[in-house]
Amino acid sequence: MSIKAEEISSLIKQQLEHYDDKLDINEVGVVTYIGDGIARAHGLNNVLANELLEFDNGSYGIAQNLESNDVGIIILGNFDDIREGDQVKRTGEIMRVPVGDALIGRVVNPLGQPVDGLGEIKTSKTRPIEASAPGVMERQSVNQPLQTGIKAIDALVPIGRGQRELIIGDRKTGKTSLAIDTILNQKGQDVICIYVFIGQKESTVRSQVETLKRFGAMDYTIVVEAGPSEPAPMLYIAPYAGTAMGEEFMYNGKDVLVVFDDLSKQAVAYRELSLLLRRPPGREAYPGDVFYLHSRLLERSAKLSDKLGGGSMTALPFIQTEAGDISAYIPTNVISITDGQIFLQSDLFFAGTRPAIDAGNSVSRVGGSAQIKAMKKVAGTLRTDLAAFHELESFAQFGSDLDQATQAKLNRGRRVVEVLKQPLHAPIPVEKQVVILYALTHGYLDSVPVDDIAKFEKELYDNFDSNHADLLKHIRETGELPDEKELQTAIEKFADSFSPSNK
Amino acid sequence: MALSKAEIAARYGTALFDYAQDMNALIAVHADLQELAEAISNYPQILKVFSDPIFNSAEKAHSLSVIAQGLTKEVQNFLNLLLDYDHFLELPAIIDCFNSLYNQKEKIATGVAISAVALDEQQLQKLGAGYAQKYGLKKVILKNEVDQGLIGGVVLKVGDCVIDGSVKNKLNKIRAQLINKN
Repeated sequence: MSIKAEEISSLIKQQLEHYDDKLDINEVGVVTYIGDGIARAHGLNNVLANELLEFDNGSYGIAQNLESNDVGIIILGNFDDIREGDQVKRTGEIMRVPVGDALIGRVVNPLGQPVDGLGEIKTSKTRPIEASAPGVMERQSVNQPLQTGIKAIDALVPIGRGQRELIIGDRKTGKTSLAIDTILNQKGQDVICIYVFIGQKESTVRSQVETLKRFGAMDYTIVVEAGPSEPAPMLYIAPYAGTAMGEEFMYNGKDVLVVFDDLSKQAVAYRELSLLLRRPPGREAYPGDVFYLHSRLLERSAKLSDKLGGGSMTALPFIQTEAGDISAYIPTNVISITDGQIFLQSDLFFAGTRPAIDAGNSVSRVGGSAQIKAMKKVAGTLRTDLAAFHELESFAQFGSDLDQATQAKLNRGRRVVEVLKQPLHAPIPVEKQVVILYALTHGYLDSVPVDDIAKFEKELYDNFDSNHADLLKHIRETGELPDEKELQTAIEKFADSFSPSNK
Repeated sequence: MALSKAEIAARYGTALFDYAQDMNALIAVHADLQELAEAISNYPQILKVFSDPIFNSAEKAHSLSVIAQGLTKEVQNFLNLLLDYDHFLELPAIIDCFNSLYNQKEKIATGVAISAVALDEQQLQKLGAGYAQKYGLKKVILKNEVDQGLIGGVVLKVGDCVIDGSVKNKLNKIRAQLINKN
């Protein structure tokens, strides 16, 4: 292709005609302190809280502390070549990130710049990272389920669209896998997923992104990443940036799922900033507004009223506990903000119960109203069955002389635990979950050896796929249980033909 | 806790300003302080000598009286006070604070005009008058600095405000616009 020089110059000439010459009138300050990702500046008398500021070297900052003599600024990006005496300029704006469809399938940093090497993101739309949450009249109650594809969650702690469900547990208990599996299950569900990695190892991020790609989940997912090597301000703004990207879809009537992995690291980054900005430390050295830090973030996830398009943003914030201590400062804060929590236990994890969900301590405060009717019916007694089992289990270890009823309860409990186990990256559609849970609660599994439950489950799904697709379709489309006789005979027929593996 | 430099400057500066006003000696004190400020910027060691704990206070008081001979009574008293309370090191900041109070009262501002070629006195005055009119001030005193990197035009810095009318800035903006359009 040849480009004529005249064409270029005429193009430039055209654009120059639109250039309007205005004097730049700026308010500036002078940097008096610089270090650790924060700066202090003298001057800037009319600066507003949270205003975006520009340094001489092109880096941006956010005004955080407005004091009588100076302004405390957190620096986003490179601060190595900012010197004492440099100028800081007001921009009159608050920080914005690019939003829109162009971001889907991309990995970006908290400023919305691509880090996946796939080139520029072409979008002209932006949103401020801090925005007020929808008010009372702009919301409606959660009424649609968000299927995670994980039996233990969909049955025991169902999540609705627009809900904030905390995932809490020690390190290495499968928190990230839980969220990744949930994202994988949103394929074809018209849900846009945003995964915000805050302070997670870059290698972890890479492998999770590869997993998402392998299962085709990047087609509807945005990954926002603030690595541990980045300065604290980036970690601090990452969840707000992710939420801003989600809001764009939510206010356009779409359903969004946003995962914050994890908020305890964000709180630590914010603590670092606050201490450097010389804000008074409080409990565990966190600043006084650490509750507001999370509450204003999570309030922005909502189910919007039909008038506003009925979009929703479901939030799955993560909190990492130390030695299972959920009564530490940040965990209690976030528990009280969210609509329920899924508690993962390392004991269960290492005992082979994966996902390691502690059913007793996990609750969902609003999800029940969003569960489909069929699931509500079959999962109703599950929680009590499980609680009774755990109570008896420790007791039963002392002797084998147990009466029939207790034996039956133990027997059922073991099978409940076994059914709720699920391998990695294998989400199960809700209609199949209903079938296996129906079989479980109606006693069809009681005669199957515990070791063969997984095999039974798999063959049952295959059997239904090939012989009873109409039943599955009925559950999927109406949300109701099909004719119980039909379902029972189908399961009975399969159970009779099932041959346990002979060991 | 020790007071910060800014706090000390604000307290002493305001006190000196009020005192000068009460004594009806504002103009004289202002003029003296400008002289002092220039002396300090020429010989910064002065501050060190007067805040050095090794010299005893009698020696310091004596040498101060020699230096401050030509100054008004008010300024002499003030310098002695600073010496007594051991805040001599903060003198430049105090003078700055006094100046800003004085400028506020008299509606005067000082600033810098940076240009690619040296400006003459008349041009500076015209620039100052223009700025003063826009922001409702009586007078703007400008100093000229030359920065050839600007190519042309003037950058005006008064207080916290920067008005950038340089050719360099305009070229940058044109460049940004061209890149964005493509």
